[in-house]
Amino acid sequence: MSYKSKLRNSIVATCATLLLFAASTASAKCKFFVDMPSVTTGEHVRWTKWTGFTLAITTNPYAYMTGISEGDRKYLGLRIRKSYALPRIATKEDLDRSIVVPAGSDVFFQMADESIIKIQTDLPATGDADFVVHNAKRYDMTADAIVKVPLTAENLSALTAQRVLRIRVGAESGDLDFKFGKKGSKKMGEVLKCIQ
Amino acid sequence: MQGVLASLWLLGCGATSAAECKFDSHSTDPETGVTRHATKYVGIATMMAKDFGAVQAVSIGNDKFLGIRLRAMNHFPIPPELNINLNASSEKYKTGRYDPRLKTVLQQFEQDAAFVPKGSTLRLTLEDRSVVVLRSTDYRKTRSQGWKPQSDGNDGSNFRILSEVHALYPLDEVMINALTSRMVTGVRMETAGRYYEFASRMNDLYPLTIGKKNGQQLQEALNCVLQIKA
Repeated sequence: MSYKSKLRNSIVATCATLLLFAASTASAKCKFFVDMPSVTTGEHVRWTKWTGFTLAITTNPYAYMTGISEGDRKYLGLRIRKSYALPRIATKEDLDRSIVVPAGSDVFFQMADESIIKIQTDLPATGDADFVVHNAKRYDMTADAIVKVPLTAENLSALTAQRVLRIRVGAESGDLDFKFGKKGSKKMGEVLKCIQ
Repeated sequence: MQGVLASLWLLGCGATSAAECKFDSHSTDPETGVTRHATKYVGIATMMAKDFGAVQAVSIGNDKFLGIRLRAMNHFPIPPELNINLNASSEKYKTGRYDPRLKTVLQQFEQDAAFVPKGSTLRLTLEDRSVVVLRSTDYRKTRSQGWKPQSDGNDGSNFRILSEVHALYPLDEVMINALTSRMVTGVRMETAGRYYEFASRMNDLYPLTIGKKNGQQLQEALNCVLQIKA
């Protein structure tokens, strides 16, 4: 085999490897931590891996998102985390009311063109809360709630069409606002494409 | 020769599968004649966690239950109106000669520390993100022990109580089917005063989850009690 043909073969092999690698990277983007039929409904359930879009160090509350598909229904899952201090030991009432987003609450998406997409939740979300006692004077609470925002095909295409600037979740104790950076917005597009 | 080998292999398989079902206790009620089998406990919290939990599958007669053992540390503030500083009275507490007012408060704390009233929930999150909610049948309380740690910056105004509670949650066919076909990833237990979330893995990107190995062990335990016929 001549030198030229050897070179050509090696170039072809390298290109093929690169193409394969690119394809595998592209398909690896959609990672699911739940991908199985539901034991209760039998529908196929998919949850993409949680993706952070707010800076946990500087923001409180902060949030993660996931794309959820349950049969034909699609959701944007927002996992909201809030930490705060209490002047006393938490009661059961404190733990129960840490984050409450009743069914029918409004979730607003502010888009890059300043338009607002309003979606109502169809399921209630209650936070799981726990507290840490550092000493007799400090009681730190952390609460964790997963809010499922139902998405129609129309909403899904609207949310992926342009950048999202902010999300506002109407919780019982007041609105919870989350700001999106450029990266966060891009991640949201990727997450939603995985369940489309 | 081959037949002998095959039977030896089969015997080996039988022994292995039987060895998987480890029972902690089995007893028969002398009055009713009902037999109770309980598998060994499966730990669902690591040393890193604050509260320790363990679950077991229980069969009483024809009924199947999920049993849970919780060991938890609770903090109680000493009512300021009593004006008792535990640091000042720690020596007396050690010797049992503490202020009688404190004794009354402690007794109340020990009662409230961790008990499971009838109808309390045990929420199990499965790997497909579906949720199974079990309800306890009756009031459960075992022992609790109060103590005041000496070296954690405690200024003497709060008290710690270590409690242990065992509770049983009945399982129906639908629940058993769900729990044996999907692995449990999260356990949240309700007691009179608060909730306990069990975890063996703490990852910021995921809600607290119990590990895969523990989940599999729990499924195995449930399968073991399903084989028991009254």
